[in-house]
Amino acid sequence: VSDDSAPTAPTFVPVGAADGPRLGNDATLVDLIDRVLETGVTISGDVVLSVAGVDLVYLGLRLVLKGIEGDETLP
Amino acid sequence: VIHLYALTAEPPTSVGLAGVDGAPVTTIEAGALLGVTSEHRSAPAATADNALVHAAVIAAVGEQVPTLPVRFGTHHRDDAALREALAETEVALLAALARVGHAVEYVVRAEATPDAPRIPVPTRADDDGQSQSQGPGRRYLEERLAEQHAAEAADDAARARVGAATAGLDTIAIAVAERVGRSGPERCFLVDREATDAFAEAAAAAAAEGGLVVGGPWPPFTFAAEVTG
Repeated sequence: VSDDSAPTAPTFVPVGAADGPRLGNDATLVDLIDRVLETGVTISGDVVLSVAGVDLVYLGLRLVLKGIEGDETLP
Repeated sequence: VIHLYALTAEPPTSVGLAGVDGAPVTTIEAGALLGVTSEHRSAPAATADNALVHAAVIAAVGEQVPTLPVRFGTHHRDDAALREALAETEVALLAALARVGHAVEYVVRAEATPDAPRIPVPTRADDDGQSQSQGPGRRYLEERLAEQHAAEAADDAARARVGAATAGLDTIAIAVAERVGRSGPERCFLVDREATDAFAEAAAAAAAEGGLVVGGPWPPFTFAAEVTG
């Protein structure tokens, strides 16, 4: 991750920055990336699935929340 | 397009974040929610670097206000489209924000075993009679089936080892979830920000005894929500 944005982003600490990684160590970055791409709230909208910078799929998704207290399918 | 990072119910106390491709991060009001966003000419690619920046922006905002992380790859054509999408699910999103927005996620898993196949392999023979023979097709399928069984056995062993080593962490966490990630079975812990020091210390001790890996603290991706259809 580049730190090009550092001068204009005082609260943004890029991964691997000199003052310490915000998001963990190298051993677990793959786990974090897995989460970013596979989990988290998804809002109905357009989702792009890309491989090697080429957009392969562009589709709309409906939101289904699966919370820790049970499933809740949204209309 | 509008790239969406996270949702909050109150504005971050500090601005000036740089997002994917260095685009400035801004907030868009949408009813009772605020979308943490950046604007792009085209949808950012799903690269590892972009995913990490996405996570870092969410983490930065999450340190300021309760934050609900959004899965990478959700884009809307403009502010109005985002507001429309959020309006449809505002109640549920606010509930999810209240449930997990104040917490962080840790993960504990076994050390990765790169030799174990993680991609499911086909196990059914075609219905053309070949499955009844001893030909190369059947041998191939049997080998793949054996690999799959070996991988499942390895996952079961790892799951049991992680479960036994981390059982003591459950009482420190708000919630616990199990999933199978890229590196195998893992236990995910939702931890209040006030308890992160205690949890990290206990998790490190458990991991050291069991040869496990600890990740976090991260935005609570696993506990926020997931797409199931």
